[in-house]
Amino acid sequence: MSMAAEPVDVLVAEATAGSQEAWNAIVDRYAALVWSVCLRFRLSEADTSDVVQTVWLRTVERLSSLREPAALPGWLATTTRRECLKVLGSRQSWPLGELAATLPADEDTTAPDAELLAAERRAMVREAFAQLPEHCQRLLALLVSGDQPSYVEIGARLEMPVGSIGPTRSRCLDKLRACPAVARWLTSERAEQRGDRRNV
Amino acid sequence: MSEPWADEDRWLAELREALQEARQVPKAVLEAGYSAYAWRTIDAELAELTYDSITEDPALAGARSQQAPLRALTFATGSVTLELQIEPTLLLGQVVPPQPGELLVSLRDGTSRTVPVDDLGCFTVDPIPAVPFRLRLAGEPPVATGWITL
Repeated sequence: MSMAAEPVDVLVAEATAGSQEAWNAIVDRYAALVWSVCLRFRLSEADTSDVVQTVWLRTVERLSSLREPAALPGWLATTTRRECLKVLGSRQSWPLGELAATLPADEDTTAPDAELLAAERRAMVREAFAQLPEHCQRLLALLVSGDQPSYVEIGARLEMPVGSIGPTRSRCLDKLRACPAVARWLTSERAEQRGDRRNV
Repeated sequence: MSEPWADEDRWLAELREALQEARQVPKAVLEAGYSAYAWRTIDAELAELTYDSITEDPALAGARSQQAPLRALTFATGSVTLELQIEPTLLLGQVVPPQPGELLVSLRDGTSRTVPVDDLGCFTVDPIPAVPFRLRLAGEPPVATGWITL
């Protein structure tokens, strides 16, 4: 688990230098991103597994030439999407209409779309979460867990006074937002909201 | 203007989704990832996929579907180009500029075979591998394509 909190550029550098452990940490971090993009295309299980395998193999061969490791999540999302489209394209004995109906609405295969961006954003949130101190991780994980425990239950489980849960929650979320990847993203979001794309 | 991402509940909702998504990833997706590392090539120059008839014009590919579709791929480094044409059961290729010798076909299942490259740089891979494969051309440095899935 020691590598789970490392920034992506460190992982990429280590994996390029031969560390299987660093590579595994990259896989652990981004598997959900690759998977969630695949899900949108409703491919068969066999096709999905082909796509996933191809994406990882391409990533391995790409590793040393990645100029901007921070761009890895975006690259993974677009590559996964392209491989999914390729699999759909190779099923081209279908009538064109049927093929078109299966594809996501936007036809420009190079432009990022809202779902792709949301998938990248969730990957970013997981990365930021992994960098939080342990007490923050435990509290936030409980707060968002399926059984929605009350503050009293959370206080009992984490052995913390109920009155400090609210403030701790705020501090932990502040830390999440201050994580470099999230901070960068927030800056570009704000710029976009103002209609100012110069800083994006 | 309001700042939607200033809202704590929005972040908690986002985090809930993000963590849930991570739990749903099938083990096979992770394992395919871990084992892909063994396929790292460090000595060969990677030939980029510079053209693929499928992704180049999917609409056109669909419109042609009456006939057997022909797929063409191009891989290139600064000095060598590999042109591939996918026929129904076999793969025809040409090395440009011509470089007679041998071409190694490595399959994802761990097997490999060599095919001859003639004086014009032409080669045939027959039958088309059923699993992802890559082509590797000897030279200084050797040139390898990325993984090809047909």
